[in-house]
Formats: sequence, structure tokens, C-alpha cells
Amino acid sequence: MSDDGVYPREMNAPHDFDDAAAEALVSGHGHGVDSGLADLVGDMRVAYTSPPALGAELSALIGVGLSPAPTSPSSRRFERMRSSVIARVGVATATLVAATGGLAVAHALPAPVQDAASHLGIGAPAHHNDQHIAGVEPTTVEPIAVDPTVATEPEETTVPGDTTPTTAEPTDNNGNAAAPGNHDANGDNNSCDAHNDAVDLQDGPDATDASTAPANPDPTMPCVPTTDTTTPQSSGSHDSHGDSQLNKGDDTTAATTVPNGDGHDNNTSAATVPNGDSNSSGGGDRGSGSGGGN
Amino acid sequence: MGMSEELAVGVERAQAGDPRGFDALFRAFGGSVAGYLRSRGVRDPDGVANDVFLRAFRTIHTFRGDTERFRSWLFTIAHHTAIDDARRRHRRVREAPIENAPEPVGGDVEADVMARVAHERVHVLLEGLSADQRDVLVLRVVADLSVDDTAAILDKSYEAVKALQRRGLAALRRALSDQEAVPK
Repeated sequence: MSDDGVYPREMNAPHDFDDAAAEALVSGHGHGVDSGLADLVGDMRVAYTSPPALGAELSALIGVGLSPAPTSPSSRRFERMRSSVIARVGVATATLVAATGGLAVAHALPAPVQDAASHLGIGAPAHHNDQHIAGVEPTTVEPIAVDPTVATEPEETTVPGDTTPTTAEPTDNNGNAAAPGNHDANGDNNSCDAHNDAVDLQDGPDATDASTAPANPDPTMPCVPTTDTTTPQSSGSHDSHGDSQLNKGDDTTAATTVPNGDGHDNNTSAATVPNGDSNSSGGGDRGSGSGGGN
Repeated sequence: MGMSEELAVGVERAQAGDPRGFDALFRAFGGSVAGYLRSRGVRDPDGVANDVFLRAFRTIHTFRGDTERFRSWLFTIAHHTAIDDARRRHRRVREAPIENAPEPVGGDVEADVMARVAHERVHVLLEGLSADQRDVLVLRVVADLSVDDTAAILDKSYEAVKALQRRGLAALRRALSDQEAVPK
């Protein structure tokens, strides 16, 4: 066979077709040239054009497509897709802000958030919590992610060793006098130091608080109350404050200082546990002095 | 919208990563690509055809040209993929099993049988051609490529392709005559 695929017996054979006849046959118009051969060419066209089975990978590609290449001339379409996504995010954000604003007008937001909203001119400020918590900037409160550390408002609290309920004057969110030394330097009220003095007295792990609470007999002790405190205006369990979820079953009706799940955080009874749930059923978040959860 | 315009839209969409473009191109060329692979004796023509389209779609953003150019570009990929497949299998391309015939579509038993018979007949006749003659005829008839594009894909001259075409057709006519001469 030659390089052009010609068998030796074809080498000297005369051509059966000229170029025009061959073109007519391969293009499907060769019945005038040779009907048998034209039919064969037709059969060939039919026999070899069955579509292949679609494989999984190709099927997935056809189903989801590919990211357009940077050099693709139809980058305008990609731009439109991106604009669409941005528009959707914008609409979602606007809806969220509108919903938050509505809650602010209805005075249904947690106090710090309500204050923050009032600074923005939305709704009235939370009159029950005019004092800003030291170390917590209200402007840092996002409408979306409510900081659970500031969503508290104590009315009364008792401290271990003091059976007389004391009305918290300028208070932090745990019913403690808002002294700078009682706050976590990180502004994180999840640690023991964010609570009342009595708790701080037992708050060993926090070195800062240990310096402000020299009466702590054992700085290494965990934040476990050693004395019971009374529950002012207790109407039952702490669930009325919405803290039962965070207390993870440790909530009791008698002991007012309960482990908060992290082994360090303790809260007195009247102090609302930062439960991270702005939708808690307890009224402590929004109560304005009743202390009963309303 | 004509067929050519639909293909042009399909190419443009595929270049943009649009699945509709991939689907349109696969529907338009899937059968002929698989047919070309079958004619070359590829053992798994459907699987290799899928590989051809995967290669094409992943690099289609580099393609420049119209639909005719795309057809030539796609069959160039198919040709090289078939060669790679033959090399992998370490076997001659002509050793094509007859079971490479496409599966019947179903629905009409008589039509399916006729299609199967037609495929076997064509396959047997093409088996009598040289590989180059068969490639030229399949690319010209099944893939509907021009002489120039066929020459480019097979890396042959224009005149060589025309000669292969003429001789291939002549060989087929002789084979047909031989079949008719054989008493059934």
C-alpha cells in the first residue's frame, strides 16, 4: 500500500469517477452517477450518525455548564449574572434592615440594639437601659447579629453573702455596679468577670478581676457559687428569663447562680443570661423594671 | 433561525460556559463524531466521543472561527483522540468489533433491524477500504467536511484527499458489484 493508502491493484487502475462525480456522490446527489453507490453513501450517513450515550461527566457539564473563560467574548453575560447576584444581596440586605427598623419602631429589639437604632433615628431609645455598658460600644451592635453579651438588663440582683436584694443602680448587664474593674478587658461578658462582685470574688481564672477582688479565697476555683442567693421577684424558674436553653438543664429554681455551660460563666438570678437568642421568651431583655420577664 | 445560525449561537453560548451551548453542540455533532470513531474501530466509541466533547468544551474558549471551522476543529480533536485510543489499546484500528454498531433507539422494531443491517453492511464494505480511504469518506460523508478540512485533519494534501476519495468510491462500487454477484 502506498503512503496515500492505495492498494497495489489500484495503482494502475483507471479512475472510475472524476472529481465532479465523486463530489456529487459524497454530497448525497450521486444517484445520477451510480444509484447503488449513492444508496450506500446514504446508508453510511445514517449508520454512522447515531448519537452516543451521554456520560456522567459530560452530562454534568451540560447540566451545569462551565465558568466562562476570561477571554470569552461573551463576558457581558457574566457581568449580567454578577450584577444579578449583587442585586439579590442588596435586596436581602434592604429587607433585613427594614425588618430591623420595624422592630426598632415597635420597640421590640433588645435594649442595646434599640439604643443603637435610636441613635440612628429609628424608634425610641430603650428607656430602661440608658447607661451604656462599659467596654461595649453600642454602635458596634449590628442589626443582624445581636451581640448576646449586651442583651441583658438586670433589675435586681443579689450577691452571694448578701441576702438583701439590691437594686442595681448604674448596672452592667449582670446587675453589677458598672465599675470599670469588673469588666473584661476584652469586652467579653462571657467570662466570669462580667458578672457581679460576688461572682468575681470567686473568679479565679481572670487575672484582672483577681486583682480587683482580693477577697477571693481561692483564685483557682472555678466559677461555682458557694452560697445561694435569693431570687428577687422570683416567679418560678429562670426560664422566665429565657436562659434555660443556655443553662443546659442546670437551671434550678433555688440556686440563682448557675453554670452557664462554659464552666466559667455564672449569672445571678436577676441578671439575664446572655443566651445568644434575641428571641428568647423571657421578658428580661425588654422588661423595664418589672423584673418578672415582661 | 437556520441550522447554521443555531450552531453559531451554540458555539457562542458554549464559549460563554452556557450549558445550552454544550447541549446544542452535542446534539448537532455527537452522532457524527461517534460515527467517525466507530468507523475507525474505536472499542468504546460512545465513551471516546464523550471524551472528545469534554476536551472540546473545556478548551472551546480558545476557539476562533465560524461553525464550519468549529466542525473541523471538533473532528480534529476526535481524530487525535481516536489515535490516542488506538495507541493505548495497542491494537490495529481495523480490528473493529462488529458490536460497535450503535444500540437501537427503540420503538420501531423493523426500523431498528433495518438500521442494524444497514450498519453491518456499510461496516463490512468500509472494512474493505484502506484506513485512509475510509477516513476520507467518513469525514466527507458523515462529518460533512470539505476537502480542505479533511486534508487538514488527516495531515494530507488537497490532491491526496481527492485521490483517496475517488479510489475509495471506486473500491466501494467494486465491492457492491461483488456482493451482487454472489448468489444469496
